[in-house]
Amino acid sequence: MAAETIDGPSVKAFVIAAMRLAGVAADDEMLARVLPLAETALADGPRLIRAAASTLEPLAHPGRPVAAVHVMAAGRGGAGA
Amino acid sequence: MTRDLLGGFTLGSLSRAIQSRDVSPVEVTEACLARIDRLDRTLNAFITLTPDRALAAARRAEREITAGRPRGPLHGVPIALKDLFATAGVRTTCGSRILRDWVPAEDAGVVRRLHDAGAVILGKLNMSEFAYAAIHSDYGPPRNPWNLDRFTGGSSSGSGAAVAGGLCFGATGTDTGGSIRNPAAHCGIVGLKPTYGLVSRAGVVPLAWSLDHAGPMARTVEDAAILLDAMAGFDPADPTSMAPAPVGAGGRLPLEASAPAVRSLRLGAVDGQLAKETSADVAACVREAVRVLQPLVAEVEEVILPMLEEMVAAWWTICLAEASAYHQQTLAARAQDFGPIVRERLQAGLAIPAVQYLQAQRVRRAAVLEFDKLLAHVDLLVLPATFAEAPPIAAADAVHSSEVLRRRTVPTAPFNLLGLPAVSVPCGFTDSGLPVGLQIVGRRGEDRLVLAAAHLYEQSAGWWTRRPPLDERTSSS
Repeated sequence: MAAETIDGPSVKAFVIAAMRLAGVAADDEMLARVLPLAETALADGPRLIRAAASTLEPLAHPGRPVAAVHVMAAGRGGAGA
Repeated sequence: MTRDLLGGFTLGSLSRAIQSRDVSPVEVTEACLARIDRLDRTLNAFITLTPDRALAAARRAEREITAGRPRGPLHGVPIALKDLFATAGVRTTCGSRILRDWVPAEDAGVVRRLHDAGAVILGKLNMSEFAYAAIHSDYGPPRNPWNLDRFTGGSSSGSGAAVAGGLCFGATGTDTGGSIRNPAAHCGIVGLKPTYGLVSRAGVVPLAWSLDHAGPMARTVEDAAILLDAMAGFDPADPTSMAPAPVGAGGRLPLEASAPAVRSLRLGAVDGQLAKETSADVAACVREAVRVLQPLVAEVEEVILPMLEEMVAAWWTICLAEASAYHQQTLAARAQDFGPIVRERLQAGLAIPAVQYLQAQRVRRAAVLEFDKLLAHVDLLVLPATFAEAPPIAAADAVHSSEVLRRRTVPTAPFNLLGLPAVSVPCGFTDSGLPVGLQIVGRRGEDRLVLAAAHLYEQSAGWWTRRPPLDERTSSS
């Protein structure tokens, strides 16, 4: 289940920018703890892009989630049913 | 106390005894409160107890039942709530310092339904902070009734400890990546993550909206089914809510009535694909469970879960991003009030790009279609609920590598992504005497069939009759 590798300095710069934009202070000690998790998560990007390319389906509207739509389609009730 | 009200009854058998007026709701509520008083200093399952409210509800139940106005099988039965279900007038901490003093004005939809069903609510249960990662140091970890040096699993940690320890007859939990099934497996009880949308999340503090499920935790499958019947139902306050299946589709049939349907099922056993990750004694218990199930169903074949690595990647992306979105404002204002592990996850989630989140949602849809194909070929999937036994308490607070965190979610999180019903039912013990959970997964909306199969297995295997040796251990300590 290993994530793919990703460029460490780029991740660090990206994480600092994201945290500043969110109004969260980023010091070195905290970054040392956060970066491994962020690196692993961002390294999933290429795998997700490849896997997403296998579907042309539109995404469900957030107010009508996939599970509810499916169950309604199968005639087993659904939101408002 | 001249009779064993707590050890001798399941939720189902207690319910029948209350309805036939062999047991008084007040008597059994007092027995639960006395047991909590005696054991919870050790187990640490509860954050807030509500004894006055519980006794008032028990007295009301007794009056109504005596007057011939029974409300149903939960009437007068003592249960407890994970402390992220909003309770009007009772603090709801989410296991956090941030919400330590939050007293909601309204009940969550599920809590209203449980009140309407006449349940006696004993209090609010300990949990991982905001249902994410570790227990906050303000509350300390619950202890596993099977071995007090072991953790219960999480995030519905207090729910696992309270039910397994016999402090209550059932509990609510929530499950975003395994948080009902993981403590259920580690504590030797039954935990169901229902179909997405079957149980309302209105008034339930979210971890990740599109992955969160609320569900029952109890000693037996019948107990969990009784709780689910009360908890499930359409709630206009939850935009993802749906109606339960009608009775004709197995909606509320007694579990025994579904046994013939189970006997015609094809079971897909996930074995080789997860063999490298699963500890030897957990794998042995699950294989033995499949052997027990084999003559009870039409066919068992080994299957491979499609897109497993992609689903785990999508789950982490979605969970990190949604959790950070929910907590973003608080994180900017009160970062120091989060526990360190939750704070780090929330900070890491801020860096998930919007495009990656959307790719994860597209992957999710592709995985739903792949599983539709798999579940057209087999009716149910069986696999371990966890890869290993309950960890030592000290390890529960340890900071784990990202790889360790990901590995733990592999057996459970895919079914949150897919919205499929999945139950953990006890299937044996490891070499060190800790419980193991068998996970049974079904098609969307077929929660009753999943429970029926789990019930048939449970009654054949008989593990549910074992109780933790808690009384001996706590009396000698």
